[in-house]
Amino acid sequence: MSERLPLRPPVTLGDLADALNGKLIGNGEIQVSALVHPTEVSRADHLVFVMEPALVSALEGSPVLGAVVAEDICLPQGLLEGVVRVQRPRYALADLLEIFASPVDPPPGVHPSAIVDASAMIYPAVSIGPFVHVGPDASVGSGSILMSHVSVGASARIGENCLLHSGVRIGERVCIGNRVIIHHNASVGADGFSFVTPEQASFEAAKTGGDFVTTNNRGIRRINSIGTVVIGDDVEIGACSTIDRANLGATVIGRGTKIDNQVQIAHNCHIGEDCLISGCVGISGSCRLGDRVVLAGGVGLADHIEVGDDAVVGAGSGVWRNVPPKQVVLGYPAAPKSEALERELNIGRLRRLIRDVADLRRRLLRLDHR
Amino acid sequence: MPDVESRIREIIAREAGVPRDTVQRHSTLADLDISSVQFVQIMFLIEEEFDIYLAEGEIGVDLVSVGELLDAVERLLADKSRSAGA
Repeated sequence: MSERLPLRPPVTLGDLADALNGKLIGNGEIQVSALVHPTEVSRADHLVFVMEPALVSALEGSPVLGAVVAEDICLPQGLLEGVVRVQRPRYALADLLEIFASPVDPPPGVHPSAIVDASAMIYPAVSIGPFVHVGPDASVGSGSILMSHVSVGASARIGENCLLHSGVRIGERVCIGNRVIIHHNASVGADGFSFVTPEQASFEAAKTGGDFVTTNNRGIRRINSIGTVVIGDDVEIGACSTIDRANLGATVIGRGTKIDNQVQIAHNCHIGEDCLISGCVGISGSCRLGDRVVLAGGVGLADHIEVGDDAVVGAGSGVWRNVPPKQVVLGYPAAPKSEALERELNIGRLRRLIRDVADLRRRLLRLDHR
Repeated sequence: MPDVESRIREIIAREAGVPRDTVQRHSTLADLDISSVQFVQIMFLIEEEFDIYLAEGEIGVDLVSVGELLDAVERLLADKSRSAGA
């Protein structure tokens, strides 16, 4: 993000070029007031962002004057009066959407319908929306926003300038850093899925046994989760994601990590800094992720798995073994990328291979009969 | 029947979702925005189309250009033709 941001609309193309570190071509005095999709332009002060060549044709005949365009996209001569060329379009998009966003801006103070325990510490410039509950000895740092129906458990700590969207649940003693964003109905600090049986359980026997187990799971006993969850600064947690508290100690999400919607992070996990965890990922108990790890959509990690720094796990992969740092793994079970792709190709070849073997067999039988 | 080059270009264009004339001998996977996962599917379709097996080492996801893929397929087809004639 440029240090010159945030600009607020209306802005000139010249200002945008500076803010995006882009190259201005044409008229920099054009004023734009709203960012719209190229197919939705209806006014001359609309700004469009073009990062795919197929979108250029949508601009022909439209009233649009200015655009931000990826550097490698060709534009017909005279189509636009002013253009800001950018080298890394998606990065520019992040800046643009910050400039043109309509930020959540509720009034400061505590809504009359909110219930804030007398022992809770509410710092200045906090906004607490309708039907929020803040429990005993909890604290909410300055500038933080709690939208409607958020609950903050006893002794939980919310840092400064956080944004908790409607319905977020923060369990007791959970610690949230500064500038953390948590989307609708996420749950941080529910108890872990942790149970034990007096004798060896079927799932324990299944790890070492054969096709059938001889044990059973009678007398399942709960293992309480008396630990907590610690969320670092600048973390983002998607809607309906769930992060369970540790049995002892803390489930930890490192600074800067971004978690998509509907992700499950089980008890005792340690997630490093600046990780990207996509939608529907499931991370079993006691896993450890290094820093900058990327888990694509729908990845599943078995319990106690370790994933090294900078590793990338492809969509839908099932990880049963540890992943070394920087390794790219794919598939089910996850394997190094080259191995997984070769496996994929070989599975595709099976039909033809079976046909070829049958053909060879027929030929050999013919030879035997001669 | 279309020649080997045009059949391969057709398969690549279809899988990459690009116009056929953008698939040139000098085009690289990166030029055509083809991921390595898509490339495996392209290899599979080419093998089916020509009834060959692209051997390990002969061709891989580190392939540089469409031309190299064409050369590899033409080599395999020539070998196949020689074997059939032997």
